Amino acid sequence: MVWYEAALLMIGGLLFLMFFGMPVAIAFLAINIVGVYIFMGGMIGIDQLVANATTSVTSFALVPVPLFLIMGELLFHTGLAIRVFDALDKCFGGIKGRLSYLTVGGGTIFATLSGSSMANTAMLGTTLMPDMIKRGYKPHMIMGPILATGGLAMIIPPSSLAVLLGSLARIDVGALLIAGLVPGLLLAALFIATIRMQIALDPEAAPGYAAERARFPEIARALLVDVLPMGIVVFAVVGLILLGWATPTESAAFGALSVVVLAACYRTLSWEAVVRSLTGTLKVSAMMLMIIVGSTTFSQILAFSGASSGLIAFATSFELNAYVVLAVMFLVLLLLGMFMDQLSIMMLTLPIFMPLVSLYGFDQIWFGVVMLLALELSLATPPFGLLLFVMVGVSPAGTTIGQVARAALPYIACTLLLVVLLALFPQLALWLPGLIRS
Amino acid sequence: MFLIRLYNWIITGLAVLGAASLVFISLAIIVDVVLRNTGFRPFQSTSAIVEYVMLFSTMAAAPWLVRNNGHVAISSFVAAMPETMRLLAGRVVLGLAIVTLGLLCWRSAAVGLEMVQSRAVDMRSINIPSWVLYAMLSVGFGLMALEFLRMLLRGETYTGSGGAH
Repeated sequence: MVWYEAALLMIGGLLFLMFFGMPVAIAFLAINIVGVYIFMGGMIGIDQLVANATTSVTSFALVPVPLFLIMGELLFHTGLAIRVFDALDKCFGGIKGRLSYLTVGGGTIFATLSGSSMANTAMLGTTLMPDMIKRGYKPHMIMGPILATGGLAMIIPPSSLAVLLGSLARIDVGALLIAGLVPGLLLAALFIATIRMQIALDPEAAPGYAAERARFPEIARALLVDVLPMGIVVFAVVGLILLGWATPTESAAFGALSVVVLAACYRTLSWEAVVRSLTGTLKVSAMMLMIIVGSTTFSQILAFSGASSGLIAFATSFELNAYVVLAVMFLVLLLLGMFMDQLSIMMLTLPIFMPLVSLYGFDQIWFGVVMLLALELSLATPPFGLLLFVMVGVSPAGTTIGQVARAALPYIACTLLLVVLLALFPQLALWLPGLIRS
Repeated sequence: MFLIRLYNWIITGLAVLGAASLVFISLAIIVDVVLRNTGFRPFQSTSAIVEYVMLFSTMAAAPWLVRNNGHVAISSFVAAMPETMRLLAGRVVLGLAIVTLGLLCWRSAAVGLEMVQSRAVDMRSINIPSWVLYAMLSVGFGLMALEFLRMLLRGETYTGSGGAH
């Protein structure tokens, strides 16, 4: 079988099964069975597939995935995240668009405490949206910032997706986690600038209202009691890595522990919160890891059948500029993201993309950050971006995907701008990991 | 009736064990790091057990996720199909899933039995019999196949509504 037939069978077959409604993990398993049977010697190939599955998730590098999820779920269900919002709310006073700014500020802090974009978007939507509607904010000023800030959790450490990307693409997980910090904060700043511009263009979009700024002692107390202690969580995750006391995997366990301790101190650690957090964690963690179990052999079959090398040779035969190749890869990620979940996209594209990254001499960590941005963006791109649906789910009845997608557009432009900035100034992503290495 | 109750209990019980095992690995890692940074010798078995728990929690929760439509699936295209076509697609998906998972359950058990006979050992930070991982896969795949079969017999279709898309 020539390489393009093999590629068509494997990639086309997989996409067909997925679009036919088959669970992604099972679709990978089914197409892998076909692939190993044809290319790896019949039943022996299937036994090899099973053997690969035993090693797929039994990896210490993947342990932060469930642990970061536990952290985020606990922060959400124990109400600690809401306390941060309430404290920040006291600082803003009556400035125009305060709730939109609060969304970005609080969402960024929550993103540094949790690794889940879905949890972040759902929390921002359910907590801030009702008040924004009541205050007469226009829909795009409500949904845009919530949608945009929700995705920040994917880039700002701790990020479950960064851990997955790092371990699947064999990129240094610790460095990739840290590399997302500066671009993530820069993106948050771009979001704030966008809100400011939107208000300048249409002052009625976010009506001003008489919200008294709390007195300084009250603000100081709120920040001291409700925000500052959250630094313990950040320290547990990022600080322990930086100090060299724990690996990224181990620091994730300390992150979860720090949230438990804080919740206990605030007396919000109920049995119900723990059960709900663990249920939420198990759902997402098992769903993600099952996709890895299912898709482990996929890249091997692509390599074994000659599809990988054929595709790479085909891509390089055009002798395109490295940044054009990068733009094409970015576009592929965006297109796939309109229909598929992030992990499936990674499993499908990494076997082709990573050799191209090496071939064109891109820094792997830098590419990891760009890929995370593309994946974050794909969550918010119509017609099937996941966060669009989460947003519709928490919005008032009658809200359409189109409305949510239009609200997201200026923020999508911010992410694209950041990608351009990263291409022009790679040190935005590489400076911090380089500092730690040295 | 008793058998159905027992079966339901197994599906839920395994999911509970899957969640509890995640708490266990968190605690195991914390103890390990504290011991290491305070000059004591950490447990040699921790990393191997943590790695095994990753597969255990995944396979233990996987059948429960099938029951709750929790495995991510792309429903947008199927949703756009006419009613009869959609139902047919749903049946075909369930049938393919049962065959795929049934086959993998069988092969995992067969390879696992070979491992038992050859007394193969998985060498990590501690030695663990190789059949353990295959047993996890076989039971997980088998129960997932049963859950899809249960859906097929009840006339249900898999929607993936509890998953991400």
